[in-house]
Amino acid sequence: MRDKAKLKMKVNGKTHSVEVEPDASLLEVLRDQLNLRGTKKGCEEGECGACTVLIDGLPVVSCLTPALKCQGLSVETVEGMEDGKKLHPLQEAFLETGAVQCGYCTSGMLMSSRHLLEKNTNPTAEEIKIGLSGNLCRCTGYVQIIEAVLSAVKKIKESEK
Amino acid sequence: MRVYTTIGQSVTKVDGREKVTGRTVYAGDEVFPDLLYVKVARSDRPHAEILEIDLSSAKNIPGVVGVWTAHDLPGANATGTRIKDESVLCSKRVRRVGDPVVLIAAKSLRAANSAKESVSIGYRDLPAVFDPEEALRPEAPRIHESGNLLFEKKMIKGDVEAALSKCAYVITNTYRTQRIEHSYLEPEAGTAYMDGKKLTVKLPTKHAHFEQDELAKILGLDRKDIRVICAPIGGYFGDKQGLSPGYYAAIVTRLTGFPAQMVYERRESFEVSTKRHPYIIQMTTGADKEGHLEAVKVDILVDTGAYASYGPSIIGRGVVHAVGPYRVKNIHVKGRLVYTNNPVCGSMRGFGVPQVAIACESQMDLLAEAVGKDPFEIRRINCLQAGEENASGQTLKASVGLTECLGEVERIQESLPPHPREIDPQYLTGWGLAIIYYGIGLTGLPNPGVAQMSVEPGEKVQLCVGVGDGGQGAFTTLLQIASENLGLSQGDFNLLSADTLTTPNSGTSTASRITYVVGRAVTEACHHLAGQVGKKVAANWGVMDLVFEDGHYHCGVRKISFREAVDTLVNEKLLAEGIFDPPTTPTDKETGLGSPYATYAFAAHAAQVSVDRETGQVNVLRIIASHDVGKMIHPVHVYGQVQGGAMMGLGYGLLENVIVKKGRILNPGFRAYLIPSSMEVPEFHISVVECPEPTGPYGAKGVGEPSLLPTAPAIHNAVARATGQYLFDNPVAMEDVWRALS
Ligand code: FES
Ligand code: FES
Repeated sequence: MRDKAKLKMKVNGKTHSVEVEPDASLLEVLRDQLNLRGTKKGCEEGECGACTVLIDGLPVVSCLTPALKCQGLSVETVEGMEDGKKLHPLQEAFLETGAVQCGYCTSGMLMSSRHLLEKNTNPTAEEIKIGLSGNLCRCTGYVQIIEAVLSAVKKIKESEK
Repeated sequence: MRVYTTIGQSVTKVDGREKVTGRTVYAGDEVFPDLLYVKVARSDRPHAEILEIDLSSAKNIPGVVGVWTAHDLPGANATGTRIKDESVLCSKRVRRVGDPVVLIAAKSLRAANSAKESVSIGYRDLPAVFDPEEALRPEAPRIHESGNLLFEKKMIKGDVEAALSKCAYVITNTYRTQRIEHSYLEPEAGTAYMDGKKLTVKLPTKHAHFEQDELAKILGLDRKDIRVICAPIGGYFGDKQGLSPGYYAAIVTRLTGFPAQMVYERRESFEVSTKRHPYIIQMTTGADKEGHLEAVKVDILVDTGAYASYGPSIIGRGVVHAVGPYRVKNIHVKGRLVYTNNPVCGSMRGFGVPQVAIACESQMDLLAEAVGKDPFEIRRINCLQAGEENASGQTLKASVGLTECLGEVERIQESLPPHPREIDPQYLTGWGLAIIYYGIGLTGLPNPGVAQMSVEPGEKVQLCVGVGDGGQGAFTTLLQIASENLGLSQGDFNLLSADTLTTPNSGTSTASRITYVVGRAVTEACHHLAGQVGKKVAANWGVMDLVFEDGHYHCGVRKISFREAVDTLVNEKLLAEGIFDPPTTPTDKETGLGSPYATYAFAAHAAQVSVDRETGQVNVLRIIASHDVGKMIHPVHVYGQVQGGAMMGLGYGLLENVIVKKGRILNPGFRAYLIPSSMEVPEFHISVVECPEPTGPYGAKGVGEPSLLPTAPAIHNAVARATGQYLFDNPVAMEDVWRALS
């Protein structure tokens, strides 16, 4: 009898083959087996958004996503955001505008923001609020996070000039 | 005005890069080979005697390393912040749902969870009490030997009854506030391991040295054999001190020798962590015919739950602040703290003051209406000015920027264009105003901040402080203060924080005291260090009078920077320590009068709300916040505190409520316990007032807690303006608003 399942998925561009418990969540596999602990566990009930990652570009709460559902898919986490030593414009903007206080919601916020900007390169503050509404932050009151996303939009535009 | 190089600049958050790249290692992110996973089996009864505990099936689960009860504990089985009334593991009796009974360690989280499920505890239920008024009746079941009245605190000045009998206006109402949950995004966590002979615990905590003392007793070890390191804190808002996962992990390491880790599940965190106390407040406000306050009488009854936690200190602060930032000659405040079998309440941002602020500020608006004055005017004629005496009889010598805050809010409010909802027939709208003050530092107690520094040629300057950073930016701020003092920048320092092995005890990260108290200690340490280096410079130059200014030593035309002086003239390691204990006096035992705080922060908020005429749904459209912080060290962080605090205040006033039925929390998670999301963010207008505090570092006071205090009261007043009816219960409930409308 097999008690572990074989899972092959891409994480931040790199292919991983791991043996997982059949009921393991993506969050568990990322954190405990692939040692990618930048993705946070805030509730394990799909309610806080701290565990948000992208699967084939779409945001999911990894705590409620069975790891086996990612068979053959491509997962992006906060650890894949930097380009070498260079921060992603969103990371830079978060750092500059005060969008990071305790930092526990940050990875999830960054992933949701990334998805938002891929869908909509020029969002309004109202659209950002909607885009981030599944990610809770208890520290900042969201204002500086919204400012960060707006500032990242500017940074991206400037870098494309 | 003095020009600073770093004070007042929004420099890069020192721990920010780690956080945006996901590299910050929180206590639950620690990895060890042979790590044991820790779980605690808990009581599902609010009040019961433990008859038997059956561990046999739990012990047989593969991977389970140990299953322990109170009898196996290595040291004291009593803990608590103020009173040691809590058991680490209960042996005979449980007093609330969630009381810890059995400790489990296993090689995998799955095994630990299965073991927890298969522990069976036999109980005999005891009569329980869930209402603070009932708990005070003689026939009520006793929750602790000492009786259910845990603590009583009074503040008495003048003759309140005589004064009330002469007042032109007397307004009495009863206010009720709810329990709320801190809801930090990082659930409590802790990791313990042996580092040589030292049992080392990493946990997010607001006071590492307190944990070390407490753990020494619980583990039956000498303090010096325990090292507590404050892990990065994923939010705390007043909580994260005392019995928590780090304690249980430490016990497992003590019992097995293996590294151990425990992380609370969200549900467990809701059930077990302390809440903001629910208050029942009866307040009588008396004023003369112009609306000048003559007398205020307050009776506060507080349900603290099954254990004391920070309760006595919280009611102490609540009583001192009950009258608000007003000039009142006749005062009678009584606060009683009562044990029940409900969830435990403890320290939360605002520490006993958010509750009284709602009552106090509603009363002021009611008074304004009765007298026929507007909300700004009634506050302006009554609020404290520098040189005046506050409720506790303390003369506020300086740094009283309340009138300025009020002026700022009024100016901004008048400058705003009408909100589109003001002309939308579906909505009623209204503005509400509230003002507060908040004592910085512990109430009437010595609470020294300590900072140590050292320097040697070619090395970074080392700064050691015993506090962690809760996300507010404490580290960045303390480094700015050190940089400004020595003419250096952030990169010139090596900061050591909250580690019982390497840093001094700087007191607890509470009462908005880090910037003011610890920041001032950093300034003192810098002065001593600069003095020592200065002696070397003077000796080398052969001069007597040397001036240290802008990071340089000067004598006539000769000049050398602090850094150059260290690198070229110092040939040893120099050490310096700075201590600052804010000048306070304990409050009088009988009258509660005295000078409990060295300085106060002030604030005014206005909130504009819309109320849906059909449903009673309240939305906050705009918040105007003005804060007197003394001096803004880091503007982005101050704004972050004001916005984050105001949003927490919005949650308190409108959304959040821990629903408890027979001692059980019915909404222990974010699905049914709603904290504000990005969708609730209103339009913000912030104005910072700087009335320098002479004893603060560069004039700074604090802002962490003041930021949340006026928001909920302002929302109440706004709803009252919009609907024409005051609601005396917090949070403002949709059904109550709906009833008010129909
Ligand atoms: S941990 Fe996944 S949503 Fe909270
Ligand atoms: S920064 Fe702490 S939860 Fe968002």
